Amino acid sequence: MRPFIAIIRHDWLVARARGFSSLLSLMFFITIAALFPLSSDLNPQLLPKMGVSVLWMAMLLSLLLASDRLFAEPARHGTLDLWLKADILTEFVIVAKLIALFVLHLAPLLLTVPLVALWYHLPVPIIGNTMAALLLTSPTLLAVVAFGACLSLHARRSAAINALITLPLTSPLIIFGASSSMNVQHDGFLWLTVLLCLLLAPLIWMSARILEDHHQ
Amino acid sequence: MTFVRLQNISYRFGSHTLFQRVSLTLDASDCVIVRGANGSGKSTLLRLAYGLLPLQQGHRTPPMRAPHALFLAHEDALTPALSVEHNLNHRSDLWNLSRDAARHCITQCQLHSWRHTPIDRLSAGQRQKVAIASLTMPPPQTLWILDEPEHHLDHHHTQWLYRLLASHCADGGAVLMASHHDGMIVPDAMELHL
Repeated sequence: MRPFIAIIRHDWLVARARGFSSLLSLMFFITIAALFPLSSDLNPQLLPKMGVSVLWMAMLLSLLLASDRLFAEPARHGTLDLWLKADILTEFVIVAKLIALFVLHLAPLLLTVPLVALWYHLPVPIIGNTMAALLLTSPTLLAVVAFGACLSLHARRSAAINALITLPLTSPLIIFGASSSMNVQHDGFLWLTVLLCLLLAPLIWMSARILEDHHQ
Repeated sequence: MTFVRLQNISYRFGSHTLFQRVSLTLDASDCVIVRGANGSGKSTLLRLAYGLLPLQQGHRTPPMRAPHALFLAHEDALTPALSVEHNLNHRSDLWNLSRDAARHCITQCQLHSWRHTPIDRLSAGQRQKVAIASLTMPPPQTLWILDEPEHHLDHHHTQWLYRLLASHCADGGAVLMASHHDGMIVPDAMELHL
């Protein structure tokens, strides 16, 4: 348990030492959401429908931006070797990194969703649905992001390859997540839960094996 | 106590054979210096001994995890943004050591003046000293695998390192290190030429 908490604490201390530059991904999220209405016809009826899609896509892109250095930086400094040789399963190393990613990037972003939703005149029930769907999708989404980060770890253009791996894999999450937000499909939440149960453990297990292979 | 045993290890990159049929046993208080020209496979042999590379041929005892075996590669595995103290505390947590292991290490290795300095503000030699000092945090009955640890150290700190290695072996630990240093490193050390 102590190594697990140590890895979360490590990422928190690194973010603090860098003046919480992790909030840049939050600024990126807000900027995309703010720019989108400017580039389209401001039809008041279309705006709320567009808002949900923009929120989901902006969230996904800012998470990709944040995940770029998830394992690449520790691998470059040698810290990843330290973690993989510590008395902790590789799966828990990944879960610890994802908890830190959630706290430092995704949680602040979720908190700003109501603010961004106001620009799109989203009704309160849809804002609630969107936040609940984002929260329910977070673990699976983070696991997909970790999988992409592990696969592209030593690639020359890791950011681009990470995006190419991660974005298509998130499509079911985006489909059911956005439909849950709009309440179009009442069983959207059910499907998000099914995806969570089916994908979370296998994705983390596969990411762990990839990391161990890279380590060798 | 045997820390690591390698038997008839061979390793090749593609068609190029790095070394063939190398055997090595490290018991408590043993020190083995691996010598050889650049590209002769010293680092590869150390990584094989630590279990960072899969075996191609031969046998190896199951690799030990930290803190029973510690590896210092060319990368010092220190997080640049964090202070010396935070880096040492992080290792102490990862290795399940006592809470004051880092404090004790700072005192023993005289790291007071850099205690709160972020690693990226230290010189390469100072960073190397911190990385070496972190090896002393666990109890001495551990295996140290060191890849040219004198790298970046001045004469004074190189002598400090060699004294540290000698006392580690005297306390029941073991050392496997690659070195280009010609003189004596640890009294009674064995040498392996690749």
